[in-house]
Amino acid sequence: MATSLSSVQKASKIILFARQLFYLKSCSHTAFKLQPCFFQVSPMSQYSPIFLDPIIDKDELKKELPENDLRRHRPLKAPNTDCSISPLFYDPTVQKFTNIMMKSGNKERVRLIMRKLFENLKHMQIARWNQATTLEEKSAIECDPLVLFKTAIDNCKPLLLTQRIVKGGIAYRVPVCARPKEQTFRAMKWILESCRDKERRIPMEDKLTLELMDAYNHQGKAMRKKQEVHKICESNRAYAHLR
Amino acid sequence: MEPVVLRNIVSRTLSFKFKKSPLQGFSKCKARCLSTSAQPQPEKINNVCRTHENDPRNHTLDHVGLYYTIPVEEINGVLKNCVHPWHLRLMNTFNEYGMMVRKPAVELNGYIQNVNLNHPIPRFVLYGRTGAGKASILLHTMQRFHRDGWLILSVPWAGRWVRGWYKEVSESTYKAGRYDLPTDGAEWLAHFKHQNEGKLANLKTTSEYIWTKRENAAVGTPIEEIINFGQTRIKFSSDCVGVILKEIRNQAQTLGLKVLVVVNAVNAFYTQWNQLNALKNSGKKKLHPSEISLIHNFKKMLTPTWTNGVAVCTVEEACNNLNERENYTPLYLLKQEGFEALDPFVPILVPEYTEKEALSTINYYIEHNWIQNAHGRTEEGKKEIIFVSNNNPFKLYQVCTSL
Amino acid sequence: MASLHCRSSFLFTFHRPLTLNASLVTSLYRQLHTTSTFLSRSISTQNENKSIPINIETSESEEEFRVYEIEGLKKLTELKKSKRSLNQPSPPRSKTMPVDQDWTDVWPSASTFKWGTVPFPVRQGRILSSSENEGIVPSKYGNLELMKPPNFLHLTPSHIKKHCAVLKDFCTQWPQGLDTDEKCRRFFPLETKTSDYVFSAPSIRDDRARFASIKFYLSDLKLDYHARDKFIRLVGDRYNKKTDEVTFETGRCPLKSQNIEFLKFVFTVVYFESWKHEDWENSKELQDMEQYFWDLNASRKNCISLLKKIKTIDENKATESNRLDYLPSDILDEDTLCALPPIQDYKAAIEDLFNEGENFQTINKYKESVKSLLNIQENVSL
Repeated sequence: MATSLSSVQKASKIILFARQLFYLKSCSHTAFKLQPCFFQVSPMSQYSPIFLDPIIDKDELKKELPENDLRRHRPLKAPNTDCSISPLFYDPTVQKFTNIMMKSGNKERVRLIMRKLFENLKHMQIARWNQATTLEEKSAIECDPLVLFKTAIDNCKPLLLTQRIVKGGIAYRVPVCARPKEQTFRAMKWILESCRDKERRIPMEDKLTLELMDAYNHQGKAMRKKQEVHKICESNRAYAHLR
Repeated sequence: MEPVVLRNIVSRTLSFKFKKSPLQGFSKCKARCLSTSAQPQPEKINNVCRTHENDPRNHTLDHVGLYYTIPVEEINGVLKNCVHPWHLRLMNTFNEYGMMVRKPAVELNGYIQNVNLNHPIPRFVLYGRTGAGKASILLHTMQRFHRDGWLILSVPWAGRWVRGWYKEVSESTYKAGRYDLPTDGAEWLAHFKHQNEGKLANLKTTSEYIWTKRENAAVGTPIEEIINFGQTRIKFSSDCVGVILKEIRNQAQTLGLKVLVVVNAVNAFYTQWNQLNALKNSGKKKLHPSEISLIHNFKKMLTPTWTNGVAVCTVEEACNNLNERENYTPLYLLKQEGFEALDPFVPILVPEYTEKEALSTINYYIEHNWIQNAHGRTEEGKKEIIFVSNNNPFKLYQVCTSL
Repeated sequence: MASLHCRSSFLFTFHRPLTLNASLVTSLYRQLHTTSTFLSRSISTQNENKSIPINIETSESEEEFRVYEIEGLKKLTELKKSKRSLNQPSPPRSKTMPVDQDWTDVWPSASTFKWGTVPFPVRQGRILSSSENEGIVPSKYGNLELMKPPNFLHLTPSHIKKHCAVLKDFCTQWPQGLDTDEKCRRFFPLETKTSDYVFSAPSIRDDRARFASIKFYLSDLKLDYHARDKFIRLVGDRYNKKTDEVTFETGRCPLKSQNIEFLKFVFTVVYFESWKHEDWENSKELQDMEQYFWDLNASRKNCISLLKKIKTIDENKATESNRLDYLPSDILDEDTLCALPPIQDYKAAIEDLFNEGENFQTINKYKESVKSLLNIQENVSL
């Protein structure tokens, strides 16, 4: 499946490239015949501009298309494989984490790790929940693995990051505000790095379980990394104006 | 009827929580209240997915699709080593040893109850897709007849005896051309002793066995002593297994013992593994399963040469070579050789979950907080889980692990 | 003499295709120019009636006087050649067709697709991408893809009706009483098939006309198991397992009737050959069997020994409730034991299981037969 898809994509890329060449050739003779929309295509896009976006929402899919809708006549893009309409198996944060963890395109392996990670988290918390005696204790225990996961990542997000800026031949590490995307990326990366530093014989899902539970409780290596970065920013705040 | 009741409950609780959540402000609280949304009314859902009839002897077709609880003593006693690790882990987490009553189990137990024990042993073969719950049905049967005081001889996974890397294989001291698996033999002895705690007191040997020049077992030696001998001198463990099985076959009628022989993945006894996976002797020769003394002895338990017993087996795709797993039916997996050895047997199909059973399992999971995803608790989400798992019990568990 | 010769030649060429006509005429014309004007005139009169282009040049040279035009006297615009009007093609024929026309007149015989003649819209062909031809499959206008495949526009129902009406005169009446296929098969089990070919060409012979085939159902022959098996092996792929039909076909003899006779001979030989028992056929072993036979396999032996064991047990404990009731009390030999109905059921079930393959029906049949064989009952309390 994957190979055939990639070959199709390659083929479409080649066709696109060939057509670009063709247009450039004809352009030299009749410069004004060029369609202006041609140059608006993103060079990385697999589709020609004629393709329209697919309908992903389940409820909208059930409705009939209006009579004069363009999607009746035009070809549609294939929906993204990663994106699912089911809230059961799809979460953007988990998706991002999966993609960051993946090595050499082996996504199935990483998804298995994520599945086992969530299982471990549930086993750990539900066993604890069962052992708790009073209602107060029970309500303090978070059992949803997704919430645990997201909170752990939120806890690891740095507010400031350092940026290397050269002024007058001297490089300064200037503290800057971290953008939300960068914050998420750093948090995920630190969690993964701290797991990969650990003993190699332990399965990744077990290491991740421990690390995430630590991060959830504001502990662990990834949290320390965040604090270190904050400390450096604090000490370099004199350079803040160089930004 | 029952799912309808449940649907109302779930939708009511959810709508209540959704109304409440926007007031609370931030996302963490919202998620938490969603995660525990089914907790306030566990008793009502209880009625849907479980039965209070916890004695397997009383289970009838009315209980099919409902969960009952097994006492811890039986999980650690008669069912030890027989429960799948994932299943056991789940049970431990839930702090409750629940298992579903399935229709094939009720059917099988009915057959065994009505069997004429004076006739040569009848044989039953469970077949079904991987993950359909064949081993769980064996658990149900074993527990049921253990309570009736039957002697249980079970092989938790016959595939263990025919393959393995770096496994010790030694030539049999009893007969040339046959091979022993000392560690596996000792393991099985311990397993047998553990399963039948307190039932072996009457069993004594009827003939003399000479292990070596100095060591021998005289007539009238208790079986427990032979087990202990096999565990300490594991060189003779396979021979000890043979002795025990032979004594049980011979004395079942005279002592009035009732014997239940349970073999999981019986097709491992008859299929030759490929060069890579098969056990090899010291001369690197590939061993046929019939050359292994443990299997040779157990095959005798499956022939109708003795009385006062019943044999229940399963056939598993996983115990065949990779290119021989297209079908899950008994003749295909046993091949002609295995089929003729077991023939005539009663094949019992273990189907995948029905709609009711799948819903019951999901409700059971929800009851134990195992499904945390808010969408997974809705009617729509349940349908989706069942669809994705294709009604396969093991797949259903796998799908629910990450929810 | 010469004129006579010419006339005859023209008469002859008139029936020939146009290309030949033109070349002949031009060569003739050259020849005549060199001989005499009288002759050429006689030819020209001949040609005027037939409107052959040869007369244009001759008449022009005779009748029109060409005026010499001096440059500069006339205006240049007048000298310029008038623009030729574009040769507009006439609108397609399909636009002027009435709705109730006779299609057989429009499309009388097989021909390639003509876009102008076909009145309905049709599209064919492939576009490389959605940008080509605005993403639409090309229409019929000048569409080469529609001309490539053979069409069936000459075989519409009205065509067939006309054909049938013509052929009806040559047909004989269908015999009375043979109204169903079943009766046809019963009274005429052997079906012979030959073909004749009709031509407008000078030769009425066709090579394919000598081929003949015969067809019959294997179940119509009287064969035992061995003969049937051997028959199927002998005829090979001429036997269709799904329909149970055997078809022999040949064209090795020059005449049709010879071929039919040969086929009947082959049929007879194969039939009698399949009844023969050769010596080497007796050395067939269990592995060579094309099917599973319960009587020959270990299953029968196991089953009988088991039943005998059960019988001795039942006799010793006469009061036992769960006994095998169908086993008779007096001692019997193995064959009579096997003839008991539960054992026959069991035998049929196990043979089905092996020969038909495993499916839910065969497995359940086996299960039920084993249950009745060993008297295994379901729980009454269920």
